[in-house]
Amino acid sequence: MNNEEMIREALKLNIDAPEEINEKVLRNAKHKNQGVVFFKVATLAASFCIMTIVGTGLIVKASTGKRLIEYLRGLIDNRSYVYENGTDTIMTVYDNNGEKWEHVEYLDDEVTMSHPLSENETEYNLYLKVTGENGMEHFMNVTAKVNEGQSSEDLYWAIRGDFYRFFSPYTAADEKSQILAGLKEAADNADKDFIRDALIDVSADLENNRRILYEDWPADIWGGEGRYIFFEDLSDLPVGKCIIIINTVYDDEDSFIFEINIDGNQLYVNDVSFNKYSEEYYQEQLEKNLPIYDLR
Amino acid sequence: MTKNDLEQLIETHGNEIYQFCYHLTGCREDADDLYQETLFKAYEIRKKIDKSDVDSPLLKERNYVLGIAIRLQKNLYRKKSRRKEELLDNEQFEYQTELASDFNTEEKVEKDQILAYLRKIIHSLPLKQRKVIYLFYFADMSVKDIGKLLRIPEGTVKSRLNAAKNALRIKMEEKGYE
Repeated sequence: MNNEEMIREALKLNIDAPEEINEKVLRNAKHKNQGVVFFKVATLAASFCIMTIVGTGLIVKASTGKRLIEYLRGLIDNRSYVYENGTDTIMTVYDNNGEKWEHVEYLDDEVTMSHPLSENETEYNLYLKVTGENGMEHFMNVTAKVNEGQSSEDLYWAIRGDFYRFFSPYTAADEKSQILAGLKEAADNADKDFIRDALIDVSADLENNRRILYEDWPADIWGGEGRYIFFEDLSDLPVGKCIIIINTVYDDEDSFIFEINIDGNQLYVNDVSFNKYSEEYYQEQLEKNLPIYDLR
Repeated sequence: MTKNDLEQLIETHGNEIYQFCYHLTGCREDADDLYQETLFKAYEIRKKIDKSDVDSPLLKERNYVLGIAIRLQKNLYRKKSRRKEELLDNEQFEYQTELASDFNTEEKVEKDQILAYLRKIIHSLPLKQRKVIYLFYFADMSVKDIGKLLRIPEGTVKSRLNAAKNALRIKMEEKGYE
């Protein structure tokens, strides 16, 4: 057996997909056909790490490892900052079995956060430490990223949308004010206009309790190129299920139909199903007898 | 993708997709999650597969679903990035002596041990290399299709494949396997 055959042989597994999962998927698909939105977009995990520990807040001067900026390269300059209300930190990039990982140590809290870096992506990272109720501290790493070769405008929308998605559940006044202060500090330090603008705009969205729909999808799924980014302020729409028709943030021609469920308590709208606009799909939506808002 | 398409996809390629998820994650629990999320997402997106293409629509659909699994796995990977160590199921990554029987010849036992070890060291490769190994050797995709799916040039696919094979060869030799 040669090497190639050995690898193929080694990758053959004697395990099958669990029948109960197959049944569950098909059952849910059936419900979806009946107009019941079952799919909750599980993107919160996509772009951040969060760790919570109990501790006391410490106010010490922050320091940032300069090597990091030398390592990260892309069409858009990468930047990674730590805003943590003053905790002393060290940032390093290290080799983890052939992959580059970013490592942030909150020295006084003895907390380390890390995540893999991709050479094909441009990331903007923001590390924050926020003290919540009862002295609970939240160590946050919020990441917005775009693929190599994408524009600064892409990263602007990724920051604005992903950061909003991440921060909007933090509604307690004290936590929120710390987050807004962190975003402001980061904006003041940003040396790229689009990063500063994104941070200021997402702060305003949060401060004004806007209800936002945000989706960011690879365009090739619908036979396009690049990515489709949707960002819509839905603050004026009533609570409940409805259908909306919107365009991507770049293009007045590319229309999509979303079925959404506006929960009065949530600022980030994430119960959605959507598809590219077509007369056929539009007719399907009409049959659902839900209010339709054309927001193009 | 209609519900019937989904049903057909699961029936024809469900096990392959599940095994692909298992390779990506290294354990049953995570593979279950990834497989389920992947199928949900595939159905939600309801991509229309171009039926005029040479490849069978179902095979194209399978490849497309593998692409979704890779994207979603990245999220899972990030989510778990602070685990001190990634746990692999012994089920597939260690040779199971209890499965050996009198019917197994010495040669067969040795071969199974080698394959279990090879599986383990493939999983220890950097994710970028593992992905191309799985797509090329497990999913039988061409270099061109892998490039399209991962959105990287064909040359990069080839260099990752070569780097992975070299790393595997060195590790196998270190262990005394040729």
